[in-house]
Amino acid sequence: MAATVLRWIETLLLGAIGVFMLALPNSEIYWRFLNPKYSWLTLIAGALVTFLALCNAFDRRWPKISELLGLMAFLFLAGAAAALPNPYYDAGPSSSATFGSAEADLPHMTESRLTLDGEEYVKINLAELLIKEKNNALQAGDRYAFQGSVTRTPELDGAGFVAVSRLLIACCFADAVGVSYFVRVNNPGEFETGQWVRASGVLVPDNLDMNKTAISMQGAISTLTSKSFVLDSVQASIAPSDIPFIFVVRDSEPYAY
Amino acid sequence: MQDLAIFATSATAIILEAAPFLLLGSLLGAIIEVYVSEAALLRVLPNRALGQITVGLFAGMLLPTCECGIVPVARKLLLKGTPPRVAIPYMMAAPVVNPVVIGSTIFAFQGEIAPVAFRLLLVVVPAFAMGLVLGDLNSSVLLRRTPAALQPLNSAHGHAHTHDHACGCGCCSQVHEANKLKSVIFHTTAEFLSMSRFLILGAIVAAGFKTYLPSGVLELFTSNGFLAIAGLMLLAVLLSICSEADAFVAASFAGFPLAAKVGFMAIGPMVDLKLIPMFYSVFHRRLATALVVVPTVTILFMAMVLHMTNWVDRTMGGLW
Repeated sequence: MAATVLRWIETLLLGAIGVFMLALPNSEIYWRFLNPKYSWLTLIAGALVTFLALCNAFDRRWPKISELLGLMAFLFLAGAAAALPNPYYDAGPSSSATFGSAEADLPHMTESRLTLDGEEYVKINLAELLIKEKNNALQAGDRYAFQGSVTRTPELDGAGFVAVSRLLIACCFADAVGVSYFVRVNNPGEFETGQWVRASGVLVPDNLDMNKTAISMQGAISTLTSKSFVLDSVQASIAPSDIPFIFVVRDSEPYAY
Repeated sequence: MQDLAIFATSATAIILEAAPFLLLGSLLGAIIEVYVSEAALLRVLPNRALGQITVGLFAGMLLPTCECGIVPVARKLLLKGTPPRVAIPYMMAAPVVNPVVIGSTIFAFQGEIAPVAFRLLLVVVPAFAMGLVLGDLNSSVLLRRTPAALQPLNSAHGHAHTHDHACGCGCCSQVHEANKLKSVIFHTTAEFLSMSRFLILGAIVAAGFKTYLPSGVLELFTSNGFLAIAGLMLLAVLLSICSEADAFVAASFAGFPLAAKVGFMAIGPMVDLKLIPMFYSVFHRRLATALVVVPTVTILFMAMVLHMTNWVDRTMGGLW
């Protein structure tokens, strides 16, 4: 009797996990955990786990308590991850301050570029920009537009900069690496850490005498910043982003942005 | 509360990422258990010891498996009479010596071959050493559960212990001869459930380190090459990142010598918080301890030699 009860509990727990893994790729929150390119893998695994759960009801094996506890722990963690406010997409400030040109026109956007005051800016994400720098493909005067969340420190405030950062995720949230760029602004005090910003500007040589490793991001093992350049901003606006993480990195236009 | 959210998300992500590979490993192990005979396995192996070890080291190129699913496969191979000099090197090397991980490492290091080559070297050497030492020892010496053939016969089924689909007794192919498919399903489920508790435990601990480790702790290790190597190796064990993704993380460690990044990438797939409890659950204590200590010491030593002799450029490699 006890074995039958335990087996049914195990079946239900395993079935719940299978259904969760089936539903997650079809939901709007898959990207919070894994790179979306692996959604097919999670879907297949979820189908298999659900199938195994159904078959488990007919197995005469005596379930182990430690196995049941493990399944419960996972379901609890998954529920907590979905329910608790996450600093990257649930708790950010929502003001709409801008910096740079106070009365700039809305930018004209094509797929890979945007135009401000007659100048073209290449839309790129922070990881792609840092890789171009690593490959010596950047020079002062290049015009780029990128987006990310604002990070402020007293040092940066004093120098008239904010850091714009994002998380680069290759496979899952657990392997996230921070990527960051310093952006010169008129008044850092207009921004709050965590605001989502879209910045456009010109690359200038980095003459900041500052410890860039002080920039850290929650959930990131390390954070990379530019060694050679900062962005002298022209215009930008703060707006909410659908997905704050970088999952795609391209080596030519149109960049993933 | 935000830290809790990061912690829960990290742990869940690790488990979701590893689960398909653990399923695959459990399924492969079950198929080997039910469908593959000992004679068939031995037929495909070379006769000489060196040839067998080589097969074990490079079998991952044909049968790539993440470290999350490799332990069940290795256990089934041993129970089927595969010499330990094949099964153990396969278990240690396959998570790295496979096309997927080689490709991801090349991509993470922007096409540079040195990180890939040294990573493979640092993995192959301890795996080869373990294969050489273990030779063709009987699996009863290595595995915690004794196979039925080595136990006293005192039951109708010919073995003394309670019949359990995850018991590894090897008897299932006879008991369920008429319904091997059902046997594969039950074996897969049992193995998956058995290993998943270690995966979940390891993921929880790894997510805890990742979330609550002070952000500046890495800076403590950059001042000295040897500290950098030991520090990153310890971090690899604590973070338990999947072998397909750890190259991207290693590449991001600005200021660390390449020998330290290579050490990070070599030790992680062989020893981490998910694997250690699996080792102690499946293997005898001495072998489990050796599976932790031998790669750690070997990789640490080799990485330090690489660093001291400056065989690698101390500043090349990676995103930065």
